[in-house]
Amino acid sequence: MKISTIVYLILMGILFVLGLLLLQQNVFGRLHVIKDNPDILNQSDNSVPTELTIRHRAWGEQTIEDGNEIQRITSLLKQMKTATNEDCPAGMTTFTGTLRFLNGTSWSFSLGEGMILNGRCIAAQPLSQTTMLKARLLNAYHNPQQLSQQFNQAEEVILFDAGRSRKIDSSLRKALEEKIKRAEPMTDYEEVGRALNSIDKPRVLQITRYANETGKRDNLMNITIYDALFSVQYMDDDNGNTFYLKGSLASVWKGAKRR
Amino acid sequence: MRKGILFLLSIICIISIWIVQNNQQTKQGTAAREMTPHLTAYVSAKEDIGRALLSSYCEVKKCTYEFVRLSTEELVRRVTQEAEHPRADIIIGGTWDAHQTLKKRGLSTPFPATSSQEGLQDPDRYWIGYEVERLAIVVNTDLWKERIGKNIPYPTTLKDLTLEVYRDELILPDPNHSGTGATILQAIFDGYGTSGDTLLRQLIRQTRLFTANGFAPVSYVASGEAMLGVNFIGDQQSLREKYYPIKSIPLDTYSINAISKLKNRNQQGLSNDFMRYVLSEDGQDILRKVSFGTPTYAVSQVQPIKKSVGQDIVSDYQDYLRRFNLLYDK
Repeated sequence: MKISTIVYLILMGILFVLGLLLLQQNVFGRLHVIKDNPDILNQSDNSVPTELTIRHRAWGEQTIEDGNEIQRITSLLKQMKTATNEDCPAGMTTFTGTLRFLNGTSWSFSLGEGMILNGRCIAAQPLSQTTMLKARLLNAYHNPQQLSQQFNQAEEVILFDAGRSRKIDSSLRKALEEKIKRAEPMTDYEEVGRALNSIDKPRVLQITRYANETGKRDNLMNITIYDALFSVQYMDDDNGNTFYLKGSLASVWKGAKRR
Repeated sequence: MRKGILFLLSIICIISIWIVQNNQQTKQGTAAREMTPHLTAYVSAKEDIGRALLSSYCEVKKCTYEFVRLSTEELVRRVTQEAEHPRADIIIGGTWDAHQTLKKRGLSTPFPATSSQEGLQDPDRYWIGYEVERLAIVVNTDLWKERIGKNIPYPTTLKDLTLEVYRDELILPDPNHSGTGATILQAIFDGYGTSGDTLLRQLIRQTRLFTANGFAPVSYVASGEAMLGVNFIGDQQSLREKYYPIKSIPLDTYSINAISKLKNRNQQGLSNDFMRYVLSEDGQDILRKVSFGTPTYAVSQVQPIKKSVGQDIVSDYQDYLRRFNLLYDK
């Protein structure tokens, strides 16, 4: 056999191996898009959720637009959808909501101590999932714009300062509302830690949405005021979560003293 | 002609080698990005406790993190379901009986010995306690004055809560979902012995609502939606500091909130380091600010818990829960 033929065969062999390698690298383990949109769209349960509108009895309406969050809430609702039919006790509903899908269908739910989904009672009493869902829905209210709006609409705001309490007047309330509107969410816990240490007995605002409704958790919210930040807690958050906003509500009193 | 074909083949070979090489480099780049340490946690403590610990740790260690907040019993259920393919590296919070269950089911793995930890922990280090909480009865003092009377003494034991006058005034956490509820069951059966079943039946009759979460009873009581509740005193303190009219009456039952590390995950080193951080001065300082429990180092004298740590409380607890569900269904 001629040398040139041997070289030719070796090269062909190398080429074949490289071809296989290329095939392995470029085809296997890669993302392939399967065009099955029409099939998927026809199945309500598997359709893409596009918008979630929720309404809290006291704190108003909110549209959740974050796709990931809508997806998480949809997964939770789908898990709960399979629950057996129960008898929901007649009671006050805290949240109502509508989840819309890309194919035009929608689900509706109401959540109080129990939960009704698409007209069917799926939880007669608080469950881990309903508690988790409520916390997720309340998360949607954790922003300064919503908070300032809620503060504005609240029928009663009581200030606790050095152990004494009083209703706050309209000028102080207006000043606080402006500060809340300009606040920024924060997650730097080093800073939170420093702020929590800054005051021994911080001022607290107890906010009541409807003054004639006493003894209702979902009617109450607390704001605790530190030097450079404040914390907010909805009383009907079963987990007792607090969220922190950067903004000096305390400067409202400092300004008042200077004047 | 033949030379031309050979030349063409050589060119194809070189191009192919270049493409494969390039592909390898892309893969290496992706791998490098994947090297950023990432910690996944299930959190049974309050959400801000999990976020505070993870964010402050990862800020120093330059890692990323994610967490899901679950009630204690839900957490145990999920970790058990995911036994083959665990999705979390570490469990933060939840009462120690839940961590003991994870140990017994072979789902967690021990932490290395650390000289700095002198608090309450599993003798085999499958879980490490980071804070101690104490059960307490919580009373709405305004409602008490209005419905019971100013000079009538508050209930001081679980047995006291069974008086007919408190019917439908009581909110308790459901032991099927909540670690706090599980601790109340232990207080009943360990504290009242053979009369535990009778006491539990009476308490179930008195209870207006069983909540899925341990914190919820105090929010019902503080807001005036209920007059009496039982949960951990730290949760009660957090709302007392917000000037709600509540009073805590401590009971002689304690529990430990702990951290566990799950098996078959690849972030074992990072998880060990995170545990050391939680027990360090910095970690405990953060806990002191966002949680209302008492750090374990400060309560090492709590003998009742120390005595039971390491005992097989899991099978006891399963029996307690079975008895609760039996009585509840009746």
